[in-house]
Amino acid sequence: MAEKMVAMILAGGKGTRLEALTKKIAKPAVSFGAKYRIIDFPLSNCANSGIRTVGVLMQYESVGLEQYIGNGEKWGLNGVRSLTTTLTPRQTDEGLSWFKGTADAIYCNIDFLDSCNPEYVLILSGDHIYCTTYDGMLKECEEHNADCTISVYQVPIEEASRFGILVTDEKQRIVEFQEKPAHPTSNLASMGIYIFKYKTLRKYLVEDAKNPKSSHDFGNDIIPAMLKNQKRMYAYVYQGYWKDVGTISSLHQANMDLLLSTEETNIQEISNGNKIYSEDTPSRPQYIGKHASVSDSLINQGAVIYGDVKHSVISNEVIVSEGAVVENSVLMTGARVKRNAVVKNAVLAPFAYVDRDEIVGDDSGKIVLYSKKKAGK
Amino acid sequence: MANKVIGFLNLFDSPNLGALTEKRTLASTSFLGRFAFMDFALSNFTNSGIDSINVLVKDNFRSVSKHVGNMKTWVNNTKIAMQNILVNEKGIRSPKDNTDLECLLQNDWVLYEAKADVVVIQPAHIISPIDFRPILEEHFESDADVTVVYKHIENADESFRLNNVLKVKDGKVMSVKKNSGASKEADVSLETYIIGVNTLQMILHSSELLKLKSLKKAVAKLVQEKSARVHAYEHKGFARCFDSLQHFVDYSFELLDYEVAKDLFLNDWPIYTVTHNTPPTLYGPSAKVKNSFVANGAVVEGKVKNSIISRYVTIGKGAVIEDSVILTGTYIDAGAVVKNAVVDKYSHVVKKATIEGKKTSPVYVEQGTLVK
Repeated sequence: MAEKMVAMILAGGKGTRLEALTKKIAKPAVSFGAKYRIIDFPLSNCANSGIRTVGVLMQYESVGLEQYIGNGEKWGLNGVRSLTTTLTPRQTDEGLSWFKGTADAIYCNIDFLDSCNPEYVLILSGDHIYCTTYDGMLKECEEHNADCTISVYQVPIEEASRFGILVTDEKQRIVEFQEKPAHPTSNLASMGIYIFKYKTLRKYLVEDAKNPKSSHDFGNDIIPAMLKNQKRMYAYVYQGYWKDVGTISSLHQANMDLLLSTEETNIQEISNGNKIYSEDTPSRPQYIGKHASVSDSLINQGAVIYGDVKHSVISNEVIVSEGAVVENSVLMTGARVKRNAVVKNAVLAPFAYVDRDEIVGDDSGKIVLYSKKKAGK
Repeated sequence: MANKVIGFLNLFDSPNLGALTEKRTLASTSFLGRFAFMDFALSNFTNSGIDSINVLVKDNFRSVSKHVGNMKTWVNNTKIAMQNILVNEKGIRSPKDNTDLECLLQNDWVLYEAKADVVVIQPAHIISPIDFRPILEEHFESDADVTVVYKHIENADESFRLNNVLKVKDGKVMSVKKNSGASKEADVSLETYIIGVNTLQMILHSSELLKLKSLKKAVAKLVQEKSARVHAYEHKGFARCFDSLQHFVDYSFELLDYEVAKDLFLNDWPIYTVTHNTPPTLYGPSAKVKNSFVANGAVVEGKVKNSIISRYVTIGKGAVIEDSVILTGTYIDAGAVVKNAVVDKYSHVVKKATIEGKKTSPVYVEQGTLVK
């Protein structure tokens, strides 16, 4: 049966700037917001949009991510007419090759898309934090009879030169694409979220694959080629919270955005009335101890707090011992902070171990990543 | 070939905790803010590798089926496993026949379909991590018809008062009587049984035993008449019987102490429950929380001490919660005070309202109450 719109989530990147966090796992599988992994957000968005077929494209450290995605059950994407599938580079008649770019990753799975026969393809990134449905974007795409609709985020004009910028006419039709322009003439930054008419996309992917000079990237190659041929391309202005977490400090900031004290946002606001689905761990109830103090924090089930926790995000199975102080920090699954230790302005990787009296992080303004495990583990 | 074991969760002897269990059975009542009581018994099946799980339901079908759903939460292999919620349909027409024995008899197709050799039957209101694997082994080795799991306790005068007391000699149950509470020390039955299918069929087809209207009494009769080999297995781990509102409160709070909780939450014995896709707990800048369990989805801006806060509970700035259990979806507005109380689901304690019970008699606030 033909699908209206199939989602393809690009989740193959390493996320080098996340340092040790992505040493053994892909960036979309990195822990976020005490309970979630980054990829929970696009997957939940798909589920909440009524999208039934989702392909997750992966390459770097794919095993852990594949295990996590499974059959899509965590996001309810395993119903009778649903399909969640992980797509990794494969050996074919022509040999074995890695995905050469974002567009090539889709091109390599064109047989999968053909078998779904969708009217539209939604291209998403596996490492964005935002809660939305794609209904509004699809509606505009249909109204404009667009070949491609690109979701854009309004950034302050002085920061626009860090982004891929789209220039539009008064009807939101895209007239120009500027990659990290020195003198931007618009503040509409591409979010790397696209809806394509599949027929059009297919044609451009096939042509791009034949071009030896192409970097096989949506932003660098496909979008400029379509613009050049005056395809109907429109911008969809996204409203609401959206974060691309590329570095330790932006990951830390995005976590802090979930707290109650943060102006405008917190986890309830960000989720926008939709649920964010994730893995449910068979954890014990979260316990706050007799001498503990906990304020302005987000804490998941299974965490045990005996010490002081302030302005922090704490995952399941974390233990903060008595006398320990945790401030302005992100503690991922299973991290331990032993007696009288101090963790400040830091991100603790999963199962990180901060020994008695140890001090992690300082007031230099830099967020440190700490990933040392207990000796022998 | 290995013996085929199937599990039954018996909700027929679920104690009545007053208004708290008016619209739900204790099995589906919230526990520690995160679980339902039956999660513990169901996880015993899961962790013991018993995949065929059947729930014998007496009443409050709605709350049971809402919690267990398709029971996928507790099974290892979703294809091989069989999960059923079993109702005694005959008992609907004739409530006096609505007994666990009748329910088993009406649903004996489960035994045939699963090709069961032996059944494990346990209640939901006794919270105890029990590994059935060694018990089954001992059951077969001793060539018993029935094995009763019991626990030696030293406070039988004030706990397990609805249970039977066993007299055990050389691993055999010599006699069974009600717990009169006369002595502190006793070997109390955990109402958990391993029964060979042939013995179970014999019980279900004995009009004399059916008349007793309970499996518990039928097993006692078998002992009394020496008509079956009834083996005793001593469970040495954690066990609490939730048979009154006071015990519900006391045993919940007791688990705030890690030294107690570590015997219930064993490292290799996860407790599975149904996911509600709740966000983590959000604590506000003015939150002050001590010695409490707090569930995901809660938003805490006030003071909480020695309490249990369930999913989606909102506690406003300056509100004070002490020695209380607050169930799912309840709002405690800014400045309100709740002490020694059990506040049921979806209630709303408005600004500056006060609810105060006593430690020895907590106040119960019904589901959906607006407290002004």
